[in-house]
Amino acid sequence: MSRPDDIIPRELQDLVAAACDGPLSDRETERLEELLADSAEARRFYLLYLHLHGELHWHQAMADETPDLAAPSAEGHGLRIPTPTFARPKPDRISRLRLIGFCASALVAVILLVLAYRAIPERQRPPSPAPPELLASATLADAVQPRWAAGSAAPAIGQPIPLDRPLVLERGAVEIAHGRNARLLVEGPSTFRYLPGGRIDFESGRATFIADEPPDSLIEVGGATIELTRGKVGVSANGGRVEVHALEGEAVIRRVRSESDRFQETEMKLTGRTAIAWATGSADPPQTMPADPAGFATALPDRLPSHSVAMMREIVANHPRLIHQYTFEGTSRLEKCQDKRGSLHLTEAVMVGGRGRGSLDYTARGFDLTTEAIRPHREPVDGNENGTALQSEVVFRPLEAMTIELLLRYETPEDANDETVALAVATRDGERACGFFVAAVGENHLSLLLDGQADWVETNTTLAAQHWYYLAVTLKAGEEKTTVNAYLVDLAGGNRELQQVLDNREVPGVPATSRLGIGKGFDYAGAHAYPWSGELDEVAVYDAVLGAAELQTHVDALRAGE
Amino acid sequence: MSGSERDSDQKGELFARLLGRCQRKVFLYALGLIHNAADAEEVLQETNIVLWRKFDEYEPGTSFESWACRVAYFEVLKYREKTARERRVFSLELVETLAAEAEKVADEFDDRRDALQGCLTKLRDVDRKLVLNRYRPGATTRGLAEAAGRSVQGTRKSLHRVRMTLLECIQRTLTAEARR
Repeated sequence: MSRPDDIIPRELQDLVAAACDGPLSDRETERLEELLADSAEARRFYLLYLHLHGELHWHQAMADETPDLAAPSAEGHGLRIPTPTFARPKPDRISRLRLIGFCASALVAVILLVLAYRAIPERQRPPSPAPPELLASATLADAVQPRWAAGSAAPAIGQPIPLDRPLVLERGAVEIAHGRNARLLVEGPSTFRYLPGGRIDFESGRATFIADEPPDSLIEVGGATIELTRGKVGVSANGGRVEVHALEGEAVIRRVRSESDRFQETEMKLTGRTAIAWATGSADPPQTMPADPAGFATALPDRLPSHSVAMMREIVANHPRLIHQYTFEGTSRLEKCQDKRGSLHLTEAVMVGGRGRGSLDYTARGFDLTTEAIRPHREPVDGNENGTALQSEVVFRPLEAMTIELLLRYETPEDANDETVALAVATRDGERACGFFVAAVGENHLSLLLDGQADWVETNTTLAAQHWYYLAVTLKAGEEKTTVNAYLVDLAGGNRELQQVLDNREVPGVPATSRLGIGKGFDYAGAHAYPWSGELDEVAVYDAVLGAAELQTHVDALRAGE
Repeated sequence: MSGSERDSDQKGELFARLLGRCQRKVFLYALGLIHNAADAEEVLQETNIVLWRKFDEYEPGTSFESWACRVAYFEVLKYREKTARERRVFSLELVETLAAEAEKVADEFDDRRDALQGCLTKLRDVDRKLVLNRYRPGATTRGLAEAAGRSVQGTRKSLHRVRMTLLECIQRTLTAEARR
């Protein structure tokens, strides 16, 4: 960049300068993106220009004094600032950057204050504020490996549940006793809050309310109140979808809160193992379906099972041929997106050119209490094109021989049709060059595709709604074809034997090199597409074709103890 | 004071030291991705909070600045997602590309900053006043134009010309230093 004026197109210069002098219009942003996408030189110019803009901004914001710069500084240390002759800021307008400086200092000061406070002897400290109001009838009766989020109330076993405090159970399960005759079982991840008047505000997660007598509490969820007369009722709220399952006895659901509530009736009674589901904020009437007794815990396990996802994860982590591992465990999004074995870390991809909507759920319920899964977002409108999922930060180069293993649960999208495609693990490098390693196509068919112009490779397996599956796909690439094996276990109902759903099948194409999509794929032009519908967990990539016997040991670690 | 309290003291002091050092770099990094100073300031604020919350994840001895920029990257994505509902923003692909290239360019930032100091002194007085007044806290190009009785468009052009002069001067300075 010897003479930027000569090399950098005038239009680009004008747009970058305009970006520094005020917000760009949508059209200007679009055009600037086009220019930057096309040229590395343009991007370098943009970054250096923005750097100059930022340096000037930063130093002027941080300056404490305003010496006269009418004459250049002979010292040359630091940026000298002129006495303003115009555009003097109003006294009450504090630089936001300086404010951030104050905030950063304040943050540090708070930390140091807390440290200093701890050094004061106990008796010299001011009295603690009064404890929050307690609901005498609700106490934490038991818990299995609970992990409460930082900032959440974290009651101890035998202690009352604090009122009006967020309870964010990230993992594990807890049992809350309501007197002698009722209890609430909550499974992590769940967020809820006890309110005055015996109300439980259940924001998200999964819980079972069990009562031998009509309890003195009710659950508020998704714009409705649920009263249990006697029996068991399961409640789940996730991603805007609310389900209430009458597992035993009768539950009464009343409309509350807003005039725009979706219930036409003021009161609905659920009996006889039925369930209803609705989308929060939707005007559609609730959908009725059979209750799912297996989906809700009615007792805490004595302890976490000895065979579990955590155990399988450990075996996988120690496998010598493992090259990438995505467990989606961790306390931050950064950690959850981390490749636990290699350095192919993941980042979010928002479809529709980055303008799509919806959030990816990083704390979705996994197969058991020892894990958290991810749930990509898939829009019911333009489902194949619209959603949010993950992809690797850099390019993934498939190996000649490899195995891809994962746990998955598939939900038929609302707008599903014959052309529906949802990808769990995928790459793509062109119209033909695909690596759709795990896909659900059309009527929930488990499939894959390595050549975009060939037919889908069907496993003749249909993924059942709400079932978790273990799946492993092995690939041995040749010149133009790949030999594929696929092994599946439907984890519902205690199954644990591998079922081979593709047996040395020669399929057209070889796995394509591109970024690795997890919960998404790419269309032929490389745009994000085909978001997964449901949950994904424990994605592992090995640099070898693993045999069925070895894969079976992973499933055994997951299930054998049951 | 117990051993764990001492550890916490040391942690707080370490955090204070590291945070102070990385503020400028994180701001510049975020600005490169979202090209709006106010947005970059928001991102810096959020990043500071996350850095403290997640400080246990930081491994002493590794680059705090790199970790901070990594955290800032995710905060940029969050901010971008929020902003995308109101106005057009750069696509995720472009943000990813810019983030990768910004890391490479960041190696030059300290040298460029030093060169900028010298280049500012070489500007004509009128140009130096113009550019430094533009970046005074609370100043805007429009305010600058009104105060000087000039058109906004003309003031923008003048500012761009001065910035381009500075960019060329910085480049010449770095090239000359590389030849020494």
